[in-house]
Amino acid sequence: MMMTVLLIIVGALIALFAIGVVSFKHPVASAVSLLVGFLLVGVFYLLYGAEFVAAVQVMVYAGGIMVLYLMGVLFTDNEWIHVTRQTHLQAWIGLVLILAFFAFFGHKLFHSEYPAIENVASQTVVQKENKAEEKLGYLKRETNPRSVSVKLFSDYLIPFEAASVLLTVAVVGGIFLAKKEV
Amino acid sequence: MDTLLNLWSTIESWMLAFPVVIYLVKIGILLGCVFAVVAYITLAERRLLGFYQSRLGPNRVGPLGLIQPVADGLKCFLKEDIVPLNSNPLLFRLAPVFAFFPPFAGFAVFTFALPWVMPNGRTYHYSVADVDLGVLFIMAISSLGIFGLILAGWSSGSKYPLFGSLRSASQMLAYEVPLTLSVISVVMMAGSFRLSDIVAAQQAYKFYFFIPCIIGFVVYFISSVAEMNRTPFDLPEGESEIIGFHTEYSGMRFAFFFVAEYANVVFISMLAPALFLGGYDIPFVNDLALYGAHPNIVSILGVCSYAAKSTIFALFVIWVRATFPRYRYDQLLKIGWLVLLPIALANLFVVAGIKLFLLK
Repeated sequence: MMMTVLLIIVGALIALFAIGVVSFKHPVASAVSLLVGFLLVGVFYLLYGAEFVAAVQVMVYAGGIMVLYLMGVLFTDNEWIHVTRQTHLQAWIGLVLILAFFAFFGHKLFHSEYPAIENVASQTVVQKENKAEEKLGYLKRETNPRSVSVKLFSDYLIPFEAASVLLTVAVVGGIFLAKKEV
Repeated sequence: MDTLLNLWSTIESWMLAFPVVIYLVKIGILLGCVFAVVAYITLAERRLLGFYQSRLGPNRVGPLGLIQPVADGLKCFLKEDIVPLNSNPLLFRLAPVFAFFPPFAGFAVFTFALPWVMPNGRTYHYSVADVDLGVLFIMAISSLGIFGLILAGWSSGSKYPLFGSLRSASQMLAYEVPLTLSVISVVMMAGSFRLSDIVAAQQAYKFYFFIPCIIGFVVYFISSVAEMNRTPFDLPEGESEIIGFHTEYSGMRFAFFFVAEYANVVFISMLAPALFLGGYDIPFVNDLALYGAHPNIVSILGVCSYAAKSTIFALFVIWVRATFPRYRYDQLLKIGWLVLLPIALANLFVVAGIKLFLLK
């Protein structure tokens, strides 16, 4: 019960700050609300007991990517923001489409059953331990980096590698777009 | 003695009814200690710099100048708090808080000794929250400190603090990467993110991790000096010559940045012993065997050993400040990206090789 209330509060705050990101007129205000949003997503992961993902979320998104965003934003010219309109007539069509999208996925989310996925790859990985490590009990725990990396490099290897290819494509594309002459 | 024990068991039963109280008491003690250490490390640094430069340093307030930190604090407190007209008032007030909280929050996951055992058999741990992902938590929290600098520089509404904050932001970004990579080499040796596990691993291996990770230790030291914004990498502050991100700040808000900087020094000097120098392990003694005989003596000695190691590290940091001149900005970035980063990556391979082939 307590958990549900907390999840609803945090989820509502995330949604609020996400709206703030797109609706604030000032770019730095947008960036700061994006930062708070990232931190709150970390809290969301914590509430679900995924401490590892929460820490990585804060470290990578809040601590790394947001700094780059803010540095980019600081270089922008702040004079034009007061005269720019942020919406146009297509916004209404967009709103209708978004509502339809959420209705469709909400329906799918609540009215379908998901098959349990059996992962066997990680069970075949043999873990070697040296003499000193045999004394250390903590190596058997679930949140241990060893357990996390065994899962990551066996059961979830293909999504992991696919994400790395995606990131490489994004980096190359970014460099290509930023260059004036190729 | 008996009345004391009875009194204690009454307090204990009351505390066990409200476990939050234990945490609050621990947090209170920890924050009190950290604030005292931060106050006196400023004095120690000024006295030592005076010694290195053949002058006296502050010695007027109280015996040997021991009340100087109080005088400094009072002075900052009594000064006028100015918010520039051109600034963004909300972010201008928020930025010192962003700079202030990460080093203090990070202390929560430290373990300072093996647990203390009461006569009735209950054990008390020398830590607020010894979580599984301690090192990762520290890395995540300390990566947030940079927002204090960026927001302070931008919200001042003046050109020079803005440039100062951009300079500091790119410096801290550049040095955060090698710092994290050097810490990862220790995590790889220990196989855990929890700080007490890392110390336990060093006790089990019977050597401290600065021996296999010696390259990582050097990289850690250099990049943490840069992260703390201290000489020879003190371009963000540049107390007397360069205009830094906190130019528009005065009084108490400036003191927040100042205290945060020294809290960072204390923080790094407490983290380094846990990662590389065995933490609360007493050198040349088999702690665990002794702990079976006299737990409380080992606890107290462990705290002393930890304190001694971090004091030596902090004195070393002050010594470096007195010795080296400041780097130029392009040199600073080159050292970060082109020297320290490849070395830190190579160190990962070396440590992995040591762990795979030498330790069997």
